[in-house]
Amino acid sequence: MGKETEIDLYNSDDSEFTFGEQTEDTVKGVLDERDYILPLKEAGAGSWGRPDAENSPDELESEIALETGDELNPDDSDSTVSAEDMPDETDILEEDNSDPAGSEADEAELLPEGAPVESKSGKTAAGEKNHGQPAPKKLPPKQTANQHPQEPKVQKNANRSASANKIISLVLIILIAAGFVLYYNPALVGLSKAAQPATPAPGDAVAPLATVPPTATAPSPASKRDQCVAKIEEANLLRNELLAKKEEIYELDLHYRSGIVELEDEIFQEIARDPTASYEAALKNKRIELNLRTIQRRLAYIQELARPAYWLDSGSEELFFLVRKARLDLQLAEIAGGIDLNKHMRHISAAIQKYRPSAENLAIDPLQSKPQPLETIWQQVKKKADNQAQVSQNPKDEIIMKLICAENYDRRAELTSISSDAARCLARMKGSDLFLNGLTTLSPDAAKQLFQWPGNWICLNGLKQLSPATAQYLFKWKGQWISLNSLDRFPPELAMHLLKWEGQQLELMGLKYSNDEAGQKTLKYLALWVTTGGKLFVSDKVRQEMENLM
Amino acid sequence: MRKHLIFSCAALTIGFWALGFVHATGNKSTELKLKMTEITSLQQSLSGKIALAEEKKDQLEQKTRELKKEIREQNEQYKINAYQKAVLHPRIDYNLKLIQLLLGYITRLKYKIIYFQNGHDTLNFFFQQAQDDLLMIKTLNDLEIDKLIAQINDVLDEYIPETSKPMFDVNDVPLKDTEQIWQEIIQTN
Repeated sequence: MGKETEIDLYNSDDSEFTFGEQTEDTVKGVLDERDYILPLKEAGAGSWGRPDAENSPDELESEIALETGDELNPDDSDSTVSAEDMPDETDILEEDNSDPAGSEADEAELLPEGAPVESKSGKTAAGEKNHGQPAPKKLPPKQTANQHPQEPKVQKNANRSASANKIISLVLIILIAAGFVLYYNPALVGLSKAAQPATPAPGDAVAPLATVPPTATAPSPASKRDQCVAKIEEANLLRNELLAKKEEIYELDLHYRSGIVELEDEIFQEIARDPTASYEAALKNKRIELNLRTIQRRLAYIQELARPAYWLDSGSEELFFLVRKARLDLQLAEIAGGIDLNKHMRHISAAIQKYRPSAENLAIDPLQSKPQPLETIWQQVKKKADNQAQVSQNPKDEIIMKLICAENYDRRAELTSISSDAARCLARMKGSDLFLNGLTTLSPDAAKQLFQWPGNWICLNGLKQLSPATAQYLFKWKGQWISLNSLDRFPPELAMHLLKWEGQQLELMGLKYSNDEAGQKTLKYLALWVTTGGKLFVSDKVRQEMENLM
Repeated sequence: MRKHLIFSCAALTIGFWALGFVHATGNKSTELKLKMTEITSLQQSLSGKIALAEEKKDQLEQKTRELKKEIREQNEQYKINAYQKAVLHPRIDYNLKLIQLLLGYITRLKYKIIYFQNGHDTLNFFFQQAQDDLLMIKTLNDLEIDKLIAQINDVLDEYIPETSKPMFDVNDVPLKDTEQIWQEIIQTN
């Protein structure tokens, strides 16, 4: 503001400058422009190496005269000094001054028409002179055009400045345009542009997104307790798998054993034809020999199945123990210290690794097992056949059976054993009930014939044992009610046949509860049969255990 | 004028004495009440701990009974009498080990329950004393309570950290011999 005041004072004496109403505006314009000029001038002074000239009123006056001259030229709008133009002009000045040799000439060129073109010393002298007569120096170009002999040169300078501005503006515009072009086409200069995510148009069908793996938004890591619980669950799953496999092995074992019983029955029939046959003679009977060999093979299979069954049992028990132990510690985690869940997880993981069922772990090789000699098998079968023959050699039974075949069924309840032929005769009896409570044994062959009887209720309450082969025929019977109240055991292989029976009612009042594996399986089968609509009569104890299972 | 001034000073002094006395009495009551609050709070914590320990002990005892029952069933099935033969059966062997562990945990829990119960009873004793002393202070305006406060603080200092600590360390439990456990099971069969 101090400088503005100073300039005002100078202009107040300029009588020639004040023409009409424009004077005030012009001066104001000059003052405003000076605000822009000052810092530039200071910068220029530094570059020119004239620090003392900065405060020189003459020099200030020269500057003002130059600016005023430009502004007051109404015809040349380009010469008007603006904030945007100022740096350009300064640049030009600096460019011109960069050549020290020509600096003086350039400086003279830039001076307004009022300032005589002379050396620096001359300029100072002129300044001193103009201090007393400032008006002629500040005349606008037009006013001085007719008076000043150097007018074309000043005009030329103004035109040159305007041209330079135009060129610079043009260059800037070109640079900006080039920048835009390169930004959108970086390939022009060998660059690549970062791929922008494609935005689908509103009307475009959006393809379903592929499932993103949950790793992107992974939840916070599970706590140690959760990990341990998960490991326990894993162990439980494996244990169930092992138990299922063990059950499969058990059923396979049962299947082989049932098959052996059937084969033995066939051999019994052959023995019955020739009870005195020796082992060598029996082998000559192809049927006996093949049956013996099949029994031999099945026994080997049964023997081999024991190994994977044991392995599965060990695995399931170890896993069960580890799970129970881990659960115990989890249960106490809130009140006890020193619980190492990592240790539990390690142990469970090791057990899981060890007992995961694989073909290697379950593989068996029956060929490597030592088969039971055929002769031993033959002797066992012969012994069973002899026992059966002794039972059926009751003379009373022989008489009753003859009566039965003569269609006299009155003494049927006295039978303690029955042959296949007598059973066939008895099956022809008419009636709804058949009480054979004196029978203590029933061969499969006899059973096959007997259970063709078309009645409703058959009582076999004298039977202490029932072979699976006999049971197979019994539970093919078309009747509705079977009484077997003397059986104290009902093995699972019998129970499996029961499930195929279409009858409705079964009495097993003599059945004893057994908590062994077979007993539990029997209960499960019986319970299953009951759930399919069968009506079962058993003791209260057995019923209670069954209900616990159900 | 001077007389009036003397009287005023005397009254003021007496007033200060009285206020100081009342203030001291009030402090004792407040301190006792504060201790009683702390006792009540700790007693609640201990009661919770005792209940939790009892609950866990019952669960462990139930688990032990189940495991013993399983062993007896196995024994019935396989007709085993000798311990050496019994441990050849994985279920019996594992169950004996679990029972061994459970009995150790139960022992520790029983000890802790007794310990907490003692703490609860001791606190109850001091609470009653604090109640009595409080009444005494109200009546007689003063009573020596420093000793009681110190005793209460001792109990609080002992039991408060116990409420935030585990009741026992699973790695430091007494383990009964499995053969002895087996013998007890088959004898009660």
